[in-house]
Amino acid sequence: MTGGASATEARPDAATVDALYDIVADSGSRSLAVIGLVKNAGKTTVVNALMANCPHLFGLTSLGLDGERTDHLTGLAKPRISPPPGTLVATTQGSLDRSRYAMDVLEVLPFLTPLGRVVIGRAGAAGHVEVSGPTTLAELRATIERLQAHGAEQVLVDGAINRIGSASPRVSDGVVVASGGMVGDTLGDVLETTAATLDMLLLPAVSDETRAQLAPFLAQGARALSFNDRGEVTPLALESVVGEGVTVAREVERLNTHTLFIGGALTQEFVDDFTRVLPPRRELRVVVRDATVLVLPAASVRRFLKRGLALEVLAPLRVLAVTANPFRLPQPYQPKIFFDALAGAVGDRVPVFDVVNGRASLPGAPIQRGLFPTERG
Amino acid sequence: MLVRPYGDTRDDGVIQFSFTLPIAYSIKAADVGKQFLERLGFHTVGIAECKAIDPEYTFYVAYGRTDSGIDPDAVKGDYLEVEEMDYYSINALIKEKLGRKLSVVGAAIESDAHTVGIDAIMNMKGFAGNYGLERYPEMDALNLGSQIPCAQLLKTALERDADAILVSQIVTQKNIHVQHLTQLIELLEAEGVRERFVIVVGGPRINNAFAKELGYDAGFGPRTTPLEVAAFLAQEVVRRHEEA
Repeated sequence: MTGGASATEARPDAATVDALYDIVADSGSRSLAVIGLVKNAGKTTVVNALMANCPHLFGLTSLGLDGERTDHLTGLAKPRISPPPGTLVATTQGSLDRSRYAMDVLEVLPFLTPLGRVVIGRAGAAGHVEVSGPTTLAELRATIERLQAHGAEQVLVDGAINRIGSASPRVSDGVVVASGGMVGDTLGDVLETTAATLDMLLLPAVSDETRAQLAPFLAQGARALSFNDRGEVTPLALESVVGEGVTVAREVERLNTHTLFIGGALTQEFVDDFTRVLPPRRELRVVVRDATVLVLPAASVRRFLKRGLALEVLAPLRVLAVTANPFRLPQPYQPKIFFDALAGAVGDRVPVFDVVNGRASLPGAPIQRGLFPTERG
Repeated sequence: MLVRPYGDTRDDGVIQFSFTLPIAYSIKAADVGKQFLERLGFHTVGIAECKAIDPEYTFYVAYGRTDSGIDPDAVKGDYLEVEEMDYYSINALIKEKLGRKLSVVGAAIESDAHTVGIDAIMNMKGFAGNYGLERYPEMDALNLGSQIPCAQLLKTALERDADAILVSQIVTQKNIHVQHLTQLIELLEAEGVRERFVIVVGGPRINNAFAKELGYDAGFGPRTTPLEVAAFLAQEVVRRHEEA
């Protein structure tokens, strides 16, 4: 537990946080989802660093549960949350009670969680607050809107465990991906999973032409649609494609589909069945709503693409940055080695930051070392 | 009001310990045990028993006194506070307020092959002197068993137009239960049906606050009885029905 305490209570490096914040501010994002590839990836440290270092009226909420003293699952000390005075916080009544945090409650939202109603208040008191927002993504979107209505210029949404749902463009308009030493058993695993996840989150958008073709069907709530070269559009008679990989693959063959739109989730079972039945070297473009409907390991998405199948999204995610946290058990990685390796794996697709040890890698520039005067480690 | 452990008299703060240290028994062993307990903050430590249980290990029975107390009213637990109801009032509530049977689907999901948890809550025979959900005339309860993929659980819940989904996770290696539990929620969200169900998770490594973190509507830990789960389901499904 002591190892966790030293790793999680680390102070952020101001210059690096400023550099990260510049990217967030330049993006025009007003609701930033910080998602983690795993528990203890460093989501809350990033959220804390942004709040503490940047002159902005922040709104803060969480899809999970953050700021508690120790992690239920791992027993590790977690970063505490002390929002600057004035910060608008959406948490639950239960979390307020548990953390004994005094806050002027401005609004009680109708959303009921296992920890009671979601409440919005203004941080004033010193002390640590436990932040746990609403349970579902629809409620999360509404909570973000209420935080903005109360005056928050930038809402920060701390993620939940390894969930990516809060990154959906239906919920937030910018994403920071927290990766760290806990993502895999070896450094190689960490790099591979991080790179594969980025591939998935950065899937390309459909062309305007395809989007225009799809629009009327989307308005009708289509679940699965086939487009072929003869200009035929055929809705598949399925409520959902979940568990129907074989059926859909046969329909794709029968209809001579070149573009398949799937309105819901894409699961591992579906991809396995679908790719098994589909003839080899069959060309096909699959379109989904956004990357968060891919409920399968990122490595499976890679295999799907390697098979020559194209995967595109209606709403691309705006991944603004990746953060690198060298923490792992039993021993953290050496920060410089970890950062350089991760920045190398990410390449120049997205900037990479280690906000604690003061390192940054910006696209178009070689990996920057000693960029900031306070560099440590 | 602060309370302290009860040893011989009220508030004497005396606790009995039994523990093993990985040291060979010797004349010094009793003092090692005593000073260890003093380091934990206990005083008036007495070593009642100190014996070799192996050439390398010494077992202790000891007593020690603490000055610390705890105010039970100030403790906020990680369990769900459910309004207590009995079997008959739960059925009556569903019949009167919902006007149809409450439909529940339960399973131990993905790689977990252990039905002990879901059976304890759902099986007609019940557990801890309570009937399981299958016994409730106002519930339509289906226990799918173990190793049910998330996708299959979702399909079944949709086909039966279930009000609630119960998920059990008993055994876990490298915390794989966490992956399974978040996977189910991400699937329901991606399919756009998260809000159609009350989703409850139970298991020995689960508590209510952790259920919040995972994205569930309630979480039940060890020693939960079917009655508690049934009362929660009835109250929550009726509440949603009335708000809709």
